[in-house]
Amino acid sequence: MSKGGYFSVVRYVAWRNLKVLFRKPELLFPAIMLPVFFLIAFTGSTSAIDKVGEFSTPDYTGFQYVFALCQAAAFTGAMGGFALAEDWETGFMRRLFVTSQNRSAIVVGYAIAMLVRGTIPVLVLTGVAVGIGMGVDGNPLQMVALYGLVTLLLLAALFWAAGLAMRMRSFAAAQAMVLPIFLLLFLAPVFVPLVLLKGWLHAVAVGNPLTRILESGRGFLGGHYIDVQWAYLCAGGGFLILAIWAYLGTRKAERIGG
Amino acid sequence: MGRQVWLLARRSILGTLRSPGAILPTLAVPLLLFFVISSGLSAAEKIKGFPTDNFTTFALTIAFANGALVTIANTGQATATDIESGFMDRLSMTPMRGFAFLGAQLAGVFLLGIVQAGLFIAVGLAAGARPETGVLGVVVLVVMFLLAVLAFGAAGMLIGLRTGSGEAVQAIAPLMTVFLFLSSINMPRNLMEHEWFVWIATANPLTYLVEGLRSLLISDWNAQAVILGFIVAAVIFAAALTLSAMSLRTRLIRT
Repeated sequence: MSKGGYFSVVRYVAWRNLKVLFRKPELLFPAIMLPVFFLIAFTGSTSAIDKVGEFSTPDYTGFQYVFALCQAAAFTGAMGGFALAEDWETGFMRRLFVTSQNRSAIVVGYAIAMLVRGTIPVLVLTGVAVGIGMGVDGNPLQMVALYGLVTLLLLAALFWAAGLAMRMRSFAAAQAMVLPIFLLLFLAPVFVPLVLLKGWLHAVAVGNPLTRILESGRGFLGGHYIDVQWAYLCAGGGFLILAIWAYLGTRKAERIGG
Repeated sequence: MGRQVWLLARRSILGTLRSPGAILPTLAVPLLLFFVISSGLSAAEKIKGFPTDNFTTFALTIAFANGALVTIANTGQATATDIESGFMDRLSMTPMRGFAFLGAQLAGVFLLGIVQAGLFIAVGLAAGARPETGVLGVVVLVVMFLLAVLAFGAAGMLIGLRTGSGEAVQAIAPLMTVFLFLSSINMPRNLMEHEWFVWIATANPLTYLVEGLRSLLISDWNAQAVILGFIVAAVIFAAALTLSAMSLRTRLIRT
């Protein structure tokens, strides 16, 4: 039996995942609806808080938009882990392991599919944010830098979830995939900048890598450069470490016998 | 009838107590939200016209409101499991009455609601919350909260009976938390800057429950807010229970 080459496996896995999305568009709902709801709810209810201090974005909608973007990216990444876990449960992944020469190509295929999927929530969120009055002061380069951070975050979340899915090979891993992402998101400066946080949440947020990504992303939107090196170090470092975690998960699944 | 209720209620209570996976989120998630919001939004107390200078007291409402909402998952999951496991089929062959089943299903979450209320008050006081209406106000708060627990517990049963699927219940239940954030939970309506959101919050029944619970914490007795809070909880309870009874009848005939 001939085995598939690296790029043919990547192409097949990515295309298959995108085809599933065309058949079941409802799969996009969690990654779209939750961030959109949170954007609307937090912008609508708490915008008066921007009077209590300096915010790096032109308005409070922009401040919440960057948080919602990170949320959408992280959830889209986690959904890739869900898809992987489901493929283990249905037995499809075992067959894929048998037919592919290099198993890391499978994870890369999922990553490409999730990157394509991730553009849809980003477009919807941007449309909603602009619709409710978001202003943008960042230049095109800063906007590219913002979406670059979001892309790295999506891939880091995907590799985290994929690593878990490869180790647990069951949908029971779903809660474990989402909970740390949820905690990282809400233990960051959600409503006010880091400098305005007080008490224990300030102490936790200082050590939370997502804080740097949020602060820098909000800075880009407002035309400022805030903690850019730290933000890219956190996002890029998370991407690399979790890519290794996912790769080792694939090796573990191979050893167990796929 | 009394014996039917007792037997099924005991089963519901034991089922709740034996399931730490169901108890922990109902205690931990509302407290996590309380801690995150009370710390993350504490700068709001500096906004001119904010109704209290103690944001921790203001934010304690979120623990109660979310604590009531998360019971949807408990009763919904329990009902769906009873359908999926065939327990409902076996029950349909007995002379059990529908209301006995529904009332008994709520016993577990009612007991859990008492534990939640005690924990939320203890943690809130330890974190620095100071209820303005005193001990009597806290008693009324707990009564309103328990009515809300029954209301959302009944709503969970309705979802469980309609879908018959634990997966569907788990998918629908978190959406309710989103509706909580589309109310005045984070900010009083008079301080919201966006008119469109004031409209959303005003149309959202959860706003009145939130404002009823919160009025007992941050202000002197506000009869209008308290009465509206009780009315919303009672209406949701009555509507969800009635619709659940109708769904149960259909479900028992179908099986």
